[in-house]
Amino acid sequence: MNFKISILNLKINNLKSLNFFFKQFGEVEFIDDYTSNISDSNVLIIPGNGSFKAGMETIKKNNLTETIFEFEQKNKKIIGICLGMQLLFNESDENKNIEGLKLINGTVKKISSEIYKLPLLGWYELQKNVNPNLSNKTFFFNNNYSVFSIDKTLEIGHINNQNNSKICAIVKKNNIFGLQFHPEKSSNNGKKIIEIILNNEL
Amino acid sequence: MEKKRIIPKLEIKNEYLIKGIQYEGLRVVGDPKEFALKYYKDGADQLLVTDIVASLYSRENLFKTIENLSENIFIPITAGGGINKIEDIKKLLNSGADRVSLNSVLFENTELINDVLNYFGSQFLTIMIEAKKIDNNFYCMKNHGRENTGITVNKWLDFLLTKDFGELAVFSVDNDGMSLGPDRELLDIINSKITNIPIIYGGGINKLDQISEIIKLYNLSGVSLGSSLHFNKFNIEQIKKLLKLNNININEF
Repeated sequence: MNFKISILNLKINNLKSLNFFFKQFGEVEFIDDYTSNISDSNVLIIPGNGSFKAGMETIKKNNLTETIFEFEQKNKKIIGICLGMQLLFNESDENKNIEGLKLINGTVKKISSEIYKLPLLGWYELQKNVNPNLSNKTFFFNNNYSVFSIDKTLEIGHINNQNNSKICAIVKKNNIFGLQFHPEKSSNNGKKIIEIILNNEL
Repeated sequence: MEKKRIIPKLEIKNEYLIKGIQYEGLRVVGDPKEFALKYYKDGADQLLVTDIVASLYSRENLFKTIENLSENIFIPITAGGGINKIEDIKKLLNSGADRVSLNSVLFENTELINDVLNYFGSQFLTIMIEAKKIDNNFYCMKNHGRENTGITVNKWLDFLLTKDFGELAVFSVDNDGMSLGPDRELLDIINSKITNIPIIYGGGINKLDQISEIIKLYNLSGVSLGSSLHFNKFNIEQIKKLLKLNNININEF
């Protein structure tokens, strides 16, 4: 594959892992602030580790909102990973009064579960997906919070919670994707889902 | 359902993978990168990398080791050993680690837990306990099992339960490298106190069937293995095969 992949540098991420992982799909460039050149980039990765507040502060401080909105306006792909997925939404219970990117309408709430220990840490199986290559595949999760979209049809992948409730694992709105798990840490399945997204198959 | 994790533990000294007995009598096993890659290919769910010499020099070395071994490994790596400030953690992340484990420093600076939680979020932190039985009580050891903190495991767990962290990794110093089997007395204590946080256990596991047994009995989220994997007593494929036979939910890549 020969995509040009831009990764936001939110300073508190596993940049080396992301670099090693995304190099499998093409050329990788880290974006430190809005002055970085993104004109020939195919996809923007918003990675995720750390708190909602720390993530949004870094984005704002470095004017990275401009970069993100440029991808959105040009209808280029954006993939939010873990916290990066949550940042796509309006706000989070993790840090109230911090505004998210508002690219997808909905909120981020603490997971409550009777069947899982929390944080959700480890490998969990996707229950259902629009893409048959992904159903019943396991991915690595590491999160305490999860997204709740207003438009439920955007939530195209999930893991089961108690009483038929669900924890959202994949959200998709046009060319904006959110993955609650870490593809870069999900072995072969992680590689597969990124390939599927990049090839417009999700 | 949660997938139970098999987590090879790589203890690092200088640039070598080492293994000791009861955390002492260390011997060189080989190149950590080679072992890490083998375990990844064999189907490990995560790696735990611990630098056993807590010094500034060693910490720089840990960054390099992690950077080196994480290159072609796409599973989570937890790194620890000698970490004592937020800056160290940021550097570890930039080297390729995904999570950190903290032990010794917490006995001198309990505030660091709060700092880490505020900065990185609670899912990010593994608290490691190295337990040793002295005069009928389990004590928390620090500096790679070398020094007794004087704090019992029971008391430490009471304190930890007031904090919000991602995972507890418990190691038996007495059974480490000894092929004595898991320390069930220690596991009983942990199990009676901690019910809602993922628990990883390591130390003394020398037979395949012990793994499914303790996962079931103590509702563990994972098992960490050193000697038995390094010295080829059994491999990850065999472990997973047996876990599957015992109806334990595992990850098949």
